[in-house]
Amino acid sequence: MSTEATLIDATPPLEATASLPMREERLFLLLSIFIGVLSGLLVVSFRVAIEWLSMLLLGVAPAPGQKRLFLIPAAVGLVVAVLTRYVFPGVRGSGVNQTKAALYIHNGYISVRTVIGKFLLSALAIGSGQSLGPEDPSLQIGAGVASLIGRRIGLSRGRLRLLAPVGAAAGLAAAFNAPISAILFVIEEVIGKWTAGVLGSIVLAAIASVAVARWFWGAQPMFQIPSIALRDPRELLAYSVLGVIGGFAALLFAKSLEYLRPRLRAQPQWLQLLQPSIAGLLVGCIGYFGLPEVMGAGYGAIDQAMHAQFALKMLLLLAVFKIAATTVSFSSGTPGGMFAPTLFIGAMLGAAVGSFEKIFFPHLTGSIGSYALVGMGVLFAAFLRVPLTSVFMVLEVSGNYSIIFPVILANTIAYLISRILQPVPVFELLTNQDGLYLPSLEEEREENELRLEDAIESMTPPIVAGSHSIPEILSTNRKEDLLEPPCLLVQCSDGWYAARRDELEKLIAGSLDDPSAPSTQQPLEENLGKDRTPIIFPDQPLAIALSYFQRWPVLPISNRAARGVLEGIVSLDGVLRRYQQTRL
Amino acid sequence: MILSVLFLSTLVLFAITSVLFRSFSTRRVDLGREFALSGQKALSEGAPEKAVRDLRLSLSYAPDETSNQLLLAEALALAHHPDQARGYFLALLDQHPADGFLNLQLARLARQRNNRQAAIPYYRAAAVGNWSGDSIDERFHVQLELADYLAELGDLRSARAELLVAVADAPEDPAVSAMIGRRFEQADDLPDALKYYKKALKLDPKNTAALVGAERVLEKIGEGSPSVGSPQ
Repeated sequence: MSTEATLIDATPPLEATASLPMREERLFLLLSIFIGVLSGLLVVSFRVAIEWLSMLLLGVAPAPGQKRLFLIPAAVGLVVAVLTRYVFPGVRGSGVNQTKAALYIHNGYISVRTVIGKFLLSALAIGSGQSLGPEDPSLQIGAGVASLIGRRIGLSRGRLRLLAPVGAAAGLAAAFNAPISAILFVIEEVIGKWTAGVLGSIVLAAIASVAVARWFWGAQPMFQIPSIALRDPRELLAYSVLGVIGGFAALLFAKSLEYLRPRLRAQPQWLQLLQPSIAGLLVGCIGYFGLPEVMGAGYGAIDQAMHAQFALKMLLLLAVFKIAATTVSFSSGTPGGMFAPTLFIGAMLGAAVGSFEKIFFPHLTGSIGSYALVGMGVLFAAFLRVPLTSVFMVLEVSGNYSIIFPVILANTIAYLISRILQPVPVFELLTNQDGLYLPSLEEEREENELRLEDAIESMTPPIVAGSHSIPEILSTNRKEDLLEPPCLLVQCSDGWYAARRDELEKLIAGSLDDPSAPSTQQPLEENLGKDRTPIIFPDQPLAIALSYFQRWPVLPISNRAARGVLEGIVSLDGVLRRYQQTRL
Repeated sequence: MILSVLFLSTLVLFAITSVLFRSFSTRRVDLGREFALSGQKALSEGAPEKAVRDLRLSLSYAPDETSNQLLLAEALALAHHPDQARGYFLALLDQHPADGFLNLQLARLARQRNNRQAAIPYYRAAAVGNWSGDSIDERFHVQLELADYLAELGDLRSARAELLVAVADAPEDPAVSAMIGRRFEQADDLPDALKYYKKALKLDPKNTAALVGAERVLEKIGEGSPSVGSPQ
């Protein structure tokens, strides 16, 4: 028997009706904490597994010229491909789109097999050197844990659907050690809209998972750079240049994926089986011939770039080869994510701009670390198209708030360039390539939602006071005037009533037939129904009006400052006309 | 019931993760130590490039080991990678802004780059910063180094001012007094130079550096100010 059922059975029927939503709400919040803790533990294990595998497979000191650098990724790639094909078919590629698809298509269902497969195969792939990151799989692992718990508890389909993003936020928060960014990312990219109903649970789960991650990894931020003091405003010009470069680099990265991924997926099955192995071989060759930093998630190299450990030429080489390596690894269908590679490319480009500045404009004061950090945010904003998350991500992974101004400036520039030159965001591109069409917040931002004020009609039907009786009303108004329009608004003591013509005709006829009847002498509002029109305001969405037209012929629109004052009315015809104009 | 199961599952997973994490952390610490020792050895053998490689590996396994970060920064400076060394020192300074050693290293790197605006504040921060061991002695030497730097830059007035501050912490030692005298002489403060040469000779009448310095100063003063008498 499910807990939900137990709760209902244990409570008297009348009380149950009132307290069930509250109890389910509390249960949901409690579950969010459990999901956060469990996701955090799994993500810590996942990261440990990647590190262990990396040490075992690539050695403790990988360096150019070691043959294992290309032999191991190629061999492991074959294993991963076979397991992906025959054992865990749902684990290909990034976890973000799979989680989103689970949310919108499968009612939040993610199978246990997918979670296990994602954990094992992503760890194997990243640990063996494929140029992919652990964050997207962590997100899916968290969502999978949430889905599993929700199913075991026996939550309703609606609740189950809400639980997946809660787990996703927990998984991502633990992977990044950054709760705010994870919450924002899940809202911006996974859920696709701001929804108060689930926000509390997402926050709880993210905080719980980060608490667990910090228990193990410690509370220090992922990257540590010195504070930034913008002594020279010209420094902002350099950050703007970084924004421009980041925008174009994101475009190159997205276009590469757009080109290669569908072509590889169109290959015969036997060749698809070899693709992760070939990708491993190519990435391994990059490592073998001089750039082992490109292999794996690359956080070590990001840290080195932040501490000015690479020369300008090396930084540019690393950025270019990382784009190539990640494109190949991801397009081959190897499980793993794109967050870490995106940060890597951004850090290298940022550090390159910083190094260039140091060489040619030594009087400017910005450190290379600060440019690398801003570069990470720039690529995040431009490539993943999550501008809000990108700003908070930089702040959280560095714990450095002095950088906020350059981050906002550079991210905005990069984001705008990316939006102009690549109208379809990369996650949407990938889902479309998979034949899926899922919503996003960016898409929602583009939509110009109609509001009641867009369909408001200033011409109002006659208004009469509900406190007057029908004979009193007829003494001040002509009957023809009252019955000519299709409806009439009655201002009652407790709100508005929109009376239809036939309803009014009946009342007037009754009062004329029997002038001495008690109902004739009663105030009009007492002869009308007890219900009142909804109190709605001009700034509310137009769609909310539609459900009321079955009951009311028109809806009065109130003024927010003075409820008794009418701004106008909306009618069904007017609303439909407005929608049709929008479509045209 | 289901919540109890959930709670138990959490405990079990926590135990498994803890065991995994502990063994993983131990291995990383061991590797970090191994590469750190190798790096230190390379540094002491005058092979800074090898030291840089090993210390980087060490830090990739134990990134929070401040002593290794310092060693890497030193190795980078020795291997003629001043920008990289500076990056490391700055990152460390962000965590320990009052650390005298870090400020001194940054001052020296800025001095190498002829960045006077950066070097002098770092020297001053080092002179008032925290030092492990004999902090008075360390601060005294930082101030002397700053005075040298200022004299090198031709800012003799500031150099003299720094020396006057430094001598307050100077130990009662003939060699140190002679050294201070020499610095005052370089800063063109001949009366103070003579004072410290005399002090050195008082502590050790056979101190050759003080004798030679005093004679030299007297010669100079004799040309410009004949009223100053003999140190003896």
